[in-house]
Amino acid sequence: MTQTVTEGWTKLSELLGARLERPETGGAIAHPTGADMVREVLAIASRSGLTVEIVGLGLRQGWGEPLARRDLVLDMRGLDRMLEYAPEDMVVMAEAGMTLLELNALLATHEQVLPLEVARPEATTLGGLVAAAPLSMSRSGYGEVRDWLLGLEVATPEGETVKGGGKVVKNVAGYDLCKLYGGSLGTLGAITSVTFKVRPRWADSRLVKAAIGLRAADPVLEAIQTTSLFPAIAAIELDSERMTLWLGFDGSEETVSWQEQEATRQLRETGGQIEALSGPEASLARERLRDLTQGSPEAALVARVSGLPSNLLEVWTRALDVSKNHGITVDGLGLVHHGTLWCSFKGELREQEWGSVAAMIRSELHGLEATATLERRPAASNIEAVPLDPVARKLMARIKSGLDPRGVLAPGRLRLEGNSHG
Amino acid sequence: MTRDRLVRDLQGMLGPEAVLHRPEELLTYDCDAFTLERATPMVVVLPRDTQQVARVVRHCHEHQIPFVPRGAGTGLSGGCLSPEGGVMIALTRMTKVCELDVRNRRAVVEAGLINLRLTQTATPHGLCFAPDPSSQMACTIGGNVAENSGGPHTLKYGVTTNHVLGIEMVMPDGEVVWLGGRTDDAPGYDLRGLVVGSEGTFGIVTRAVVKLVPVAPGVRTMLAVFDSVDEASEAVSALIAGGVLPAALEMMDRMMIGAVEASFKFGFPTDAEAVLIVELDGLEAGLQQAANQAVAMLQAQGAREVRLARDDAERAHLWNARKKAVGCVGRLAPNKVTQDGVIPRSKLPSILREIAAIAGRYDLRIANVFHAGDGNLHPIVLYDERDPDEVRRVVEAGQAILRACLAVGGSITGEHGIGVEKLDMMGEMFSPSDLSTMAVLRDAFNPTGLCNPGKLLPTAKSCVETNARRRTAGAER
Repeated sequence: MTQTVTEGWTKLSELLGARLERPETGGAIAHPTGADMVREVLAIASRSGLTVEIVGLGLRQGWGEPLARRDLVLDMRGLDRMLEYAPEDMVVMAEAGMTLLELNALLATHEQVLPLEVARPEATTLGGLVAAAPLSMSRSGYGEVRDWLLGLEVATPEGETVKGGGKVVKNVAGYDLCKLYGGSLGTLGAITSVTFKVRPRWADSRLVKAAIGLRAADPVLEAIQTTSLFPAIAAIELDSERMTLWLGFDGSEETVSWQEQEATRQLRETGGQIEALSGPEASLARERLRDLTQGSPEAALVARVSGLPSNLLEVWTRALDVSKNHGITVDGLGLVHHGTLWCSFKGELREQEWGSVAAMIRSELHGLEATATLERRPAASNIEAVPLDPVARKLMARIKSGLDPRGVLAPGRLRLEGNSHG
Repeated sequence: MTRDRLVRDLQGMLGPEAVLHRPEELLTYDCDAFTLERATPMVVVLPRDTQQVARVVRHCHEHQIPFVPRGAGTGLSGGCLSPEGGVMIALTRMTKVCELDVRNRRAVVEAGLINLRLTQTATPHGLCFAPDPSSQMACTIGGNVAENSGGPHTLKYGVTTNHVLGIEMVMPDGEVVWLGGRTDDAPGYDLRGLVVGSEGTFGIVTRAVVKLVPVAPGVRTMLAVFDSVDEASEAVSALIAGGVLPAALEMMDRMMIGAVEASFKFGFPTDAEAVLIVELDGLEAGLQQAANQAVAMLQAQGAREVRLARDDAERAHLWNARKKAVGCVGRLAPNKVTQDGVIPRSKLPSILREIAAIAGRYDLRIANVFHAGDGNLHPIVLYDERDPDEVRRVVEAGQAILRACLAVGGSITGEHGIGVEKLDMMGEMFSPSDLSTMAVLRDAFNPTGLCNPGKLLPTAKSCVETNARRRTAGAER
């Protein structure tokens, strides 16, 4: 059953009342308070040909391509309840609008934690955490969002409910819908609730910091990549001269203390400057690193490069070359075991010149088996943010057109429209 | 196309030695380790590389012939049962470790490589492949990818999907594609994550890039003996809730202990109602303290004895016994079906009581050996396939167990997959919307439906075929 756009707005207004903002200047926003309301909003939008962008706190709203059209913003912050928490099972289910910070505050009352250290947890809703799947700074120890997500509930573009996974820690029934919706950037459905496994909070935590000249850095990196230590954090900060290595250890006092001493001993042999941090000092440093996974605050262009861990410094050298070529600066944050490198470019350039920076980075990565996703860029730089190869694009387009045949959700975000038969 | 013509065509592509078509050659391939149903393929091919797989698949696509991939045939849900008139593509000749990258902790391997062989290749470099199904001496990496396999140590290290970076796959039309690759992150939808666990219904996986993890330098393995199943299962919850994170936490009940002890002479206490195998691993620093904490918790929960493995040999003996436990029930009955339900860990005591009640209700014997720390049950239902009424009761009891798992918020499978075995149960776990979403995914990858039809997703046709196969199997017995 279809209806006109005007009928659609009338029905939305009847459903939401004051929870629908519709300023004359455009930019309508719906503020639902529960999953039922989300489904009804989507059903109306779908029938009346309105397009919808799902938004939490908006921290990663700019990821992907600019939308081709957006009639309505669906604000998920009203869905912020804890639905189920079984500390004895270490499983928690909450609505999508709760923030990661709020969730971890609740878990802390049982000495438990969801150990995903993504930038700005106070501005990261759980729905956004799953939909955008940002990378965690403590990836060496605790992996990624997809490793902790057990289940989710989604409102489809037609307003139906789809459930993926469940609340058990092992589950292979049917296709893995958690993988489908995780990282899909709100293009396939509105996540209304999520279920995570959690873990006990560690008793002790320390950081070791070492500053090393770039020329001496690769053997140190190799040693960490093949180390017998088990760091939760293995991150590097890079500038044109130096690499600052951060190793973080969590666990029992005995385990942490031994690893701190062993790391210090090994790093001292490199001749670098070593510093050990604990307590509030370590917490602050850890939070600063965590927030840098969003890129440097003043950067105009943030490229997240995914390559082989052994190529981290080669990628960095090329990023430095690109910055020199354009008369700008760059700083980097890398994850030692995963080959992830955020390159934050800063400087005064015209918008199309930023496009040239991004294109040059991509061109420099040829031959290094690396891809660069642009997580921040000037609005008009007109270069693809999410580089998809043709085979993947074709499959993704078929999935998108199968699950959102009317193109309701975030049209254009991954440039999949019109590619399903390619 | 006639069978003779098909055989000639395939022989032309792969050579005669790589095409099996005589009835006696096909016998091995009429089922996997789920033996309640059988179906003989029209022909089995044994390709040596991806291009040969692609040629066979293109031929099937052009002539509209259904096909199914097969690894070692250790699957427990009939996932590689042949479709009627189908071509089976067995990947057991594709066994190469194409690349072992120690610094980056990853390997590129062919789909037919045996799981344990990968770990044996990596161990001299201090690395291993974490998923370790009990069948790891036989099962293949391609099969692990298809089923998203687990194993005892996935409690700490995760299942196959947590360890796969890239997949080379022959699409159902014969196109060879890579989804993901050697790097950790692929942009866009998580296609490799979708393929893992898709039970061979999206295409034929021919190679995979897998992550390797460092071998833990320290390990403590203990056997905790209990006089009641309730106490043992309460101890599982207590350990997890108490903050102990074991690498593995396994449980065996009295019937299982007897069968395993008779086979392996490990010294299991055959008068015990249940034992737990608890393994902690990590750095030596702090490990003994964690082990002491675990022992204290187990004793507080009523363990009458907690034995620590004295050395690597004893530990290996214990794990060998555990991993081969299911085979030991051959001493107890001619046939068995291993169920695979999952429940929240805290529901272990009640679900084990429920399973015992189901055994009584259906007049069957059920032994239990399972991944207690994950809440992943493996009730082994014993039977004699020559007794059609017992076969019927086995099927019904299996469904009753899975329904009990669903009733406490669990799942109908934790690591064995849906295959054909649990098709009937999909509608009880998932809504029509959930299933239609899954159907969209299958159609995106496999629009013709020729690749492993009748598995994982129920259709009216697949349910009729399943019931017919089960009737036939019963009649033959």
